[in-house]
Amino acid sequence: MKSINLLAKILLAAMLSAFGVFALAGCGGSASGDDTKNMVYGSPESKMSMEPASGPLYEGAALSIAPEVKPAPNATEHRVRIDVNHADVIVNDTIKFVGWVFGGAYPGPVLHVRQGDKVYFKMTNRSNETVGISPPSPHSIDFHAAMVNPKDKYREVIPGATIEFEWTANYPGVYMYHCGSPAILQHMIYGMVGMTIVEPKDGYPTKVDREYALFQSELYLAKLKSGMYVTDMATAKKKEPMFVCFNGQPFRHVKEPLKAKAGERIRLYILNAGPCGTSSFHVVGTLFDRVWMEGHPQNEMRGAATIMLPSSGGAIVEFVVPEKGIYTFVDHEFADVEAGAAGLIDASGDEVAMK
Amino acid sequence: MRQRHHRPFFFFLLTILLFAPTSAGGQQLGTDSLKNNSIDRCGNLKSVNAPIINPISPTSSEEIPSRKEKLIVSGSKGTAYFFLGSLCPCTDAHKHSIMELMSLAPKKNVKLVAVFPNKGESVELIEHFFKGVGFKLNYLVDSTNRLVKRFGAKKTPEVFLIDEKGRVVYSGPIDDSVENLGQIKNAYLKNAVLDLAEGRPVSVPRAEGSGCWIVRNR
Repeated sequence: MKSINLLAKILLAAMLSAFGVFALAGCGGSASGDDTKNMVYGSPESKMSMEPASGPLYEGAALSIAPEVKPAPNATEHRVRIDVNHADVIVNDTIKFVGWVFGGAYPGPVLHVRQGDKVYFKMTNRSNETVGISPPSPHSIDFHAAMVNPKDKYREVIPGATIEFEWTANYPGVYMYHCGSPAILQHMIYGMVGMTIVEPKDGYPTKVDREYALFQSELYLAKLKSGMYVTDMATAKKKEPMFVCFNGQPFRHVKEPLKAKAGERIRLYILNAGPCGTSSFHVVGTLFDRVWMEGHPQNEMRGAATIMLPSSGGAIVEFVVPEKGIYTFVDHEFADVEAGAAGLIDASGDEVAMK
Repeated sequence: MRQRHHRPFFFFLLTILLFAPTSAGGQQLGTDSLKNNSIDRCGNLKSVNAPIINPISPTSSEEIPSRKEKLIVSGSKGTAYFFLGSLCPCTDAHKHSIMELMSLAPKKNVKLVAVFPNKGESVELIEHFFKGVGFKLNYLVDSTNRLVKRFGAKKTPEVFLIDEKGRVVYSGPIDDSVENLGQIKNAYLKNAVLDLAEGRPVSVPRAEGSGCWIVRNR
């Protein structure tokens, strides 16, 4: 009888313990729990109007131009405006082409928010303001970070029209946005690409001394007999870029190195916008202490030398600058380096990071 | 007394002549075409004696004379005029439909002609454009926008299909693939060509589609 009672007590204790474990596992956003219950899927129908636009081509505290990454604003809702316009894109001292861009910049502005934040987005197609450069064309936007009905939110915006819609950033990550109007490849090679950073609600698990956005993209151009450069669908379809860029220009960060100090911990938000190729990202002289694929800390690798990014794929890498020096970063698919996919991190100064 | 009886009839006849329908069997054309005197009272595009400018010799296609253009190719059942822009991305979405038509149209005795009307258009850009899209049509450079005005074209791509009498029997997009995320539910131009070739009224004479604005020279 006593042994049966003891057995019953042990069984009861085991059941209660098991119940406790399951109950705890159901709480909060741990890796083993379900954190989707707080996510917001979809949003109210988008609005289209012929509201005229004026003023800057982008507005919003959550926006910056790469390589700068402004901190995500202390707010859970962000009003963001990124307009589309047609403008000359400067490739280097001798080459430019007529581009179609977001926010007047190639690549478009970096949008930085937190997981769970709501983005109230507005975009005017201002291609009708520059008829002398390129015929006004319909455009659209596709936010990879958003979970919405594409047929409603990413629909065509005719020249002069404005679209407004909202979306919620459900997952942390480094995501692409681009024009989704056909032919999408053509809109992308014309320059209609940009980056969204969604950081975890409670921030990243590590602290860094500095951070930069690095946006890799390909330029498909042809030089006409007149000397004019134009985008080239023929070479784009063959995946033969004329240039491969970090932050919009080939060898840009060779001419304008990113700054760092010996001993600092650096975070890079990297996105391979393609539109056609992959990227094998590597920094010469160090290893990545952390790699978060797609920019999500739960997709972690340690000690990587090179990370593979698909077209439209992003990641966050963190590394320590081991000593004073110049560190080259490349797309290790070396044909891309020849085409311009290389840059420098200049830690050659005498200053060292404070411990 | 007899003159008085003739007057009502005279005024009746005058009224009929002045207010005759502007469309007879084809699609009613826009007011721009009426103002330009490019259509007759029955709604037919005026055809004249000069042959269509040979688009293979681009240097001869820079100007389209205002009164001597023959818009119907002799002996054909119809002609489709594609208004295109070398810097406009919208044509690429329809390239498969256009290539299908390039195969179908000759069998139905329908001619296909591209018209490039934008300000700043050049042979160099047009040749580059065709290389990018992967097909090539006979083309005209409408540098004075005469064809734009005659047809009332507003965007690129936009197509006007005319029959052997010069009447516009279809105008609008090539198909509705842009509106349907790449799926063609209505092959507007192909169906119009088939209707025309087989002597039927065109079932959808007018459709709306998206495209780039035409940037006129004048």
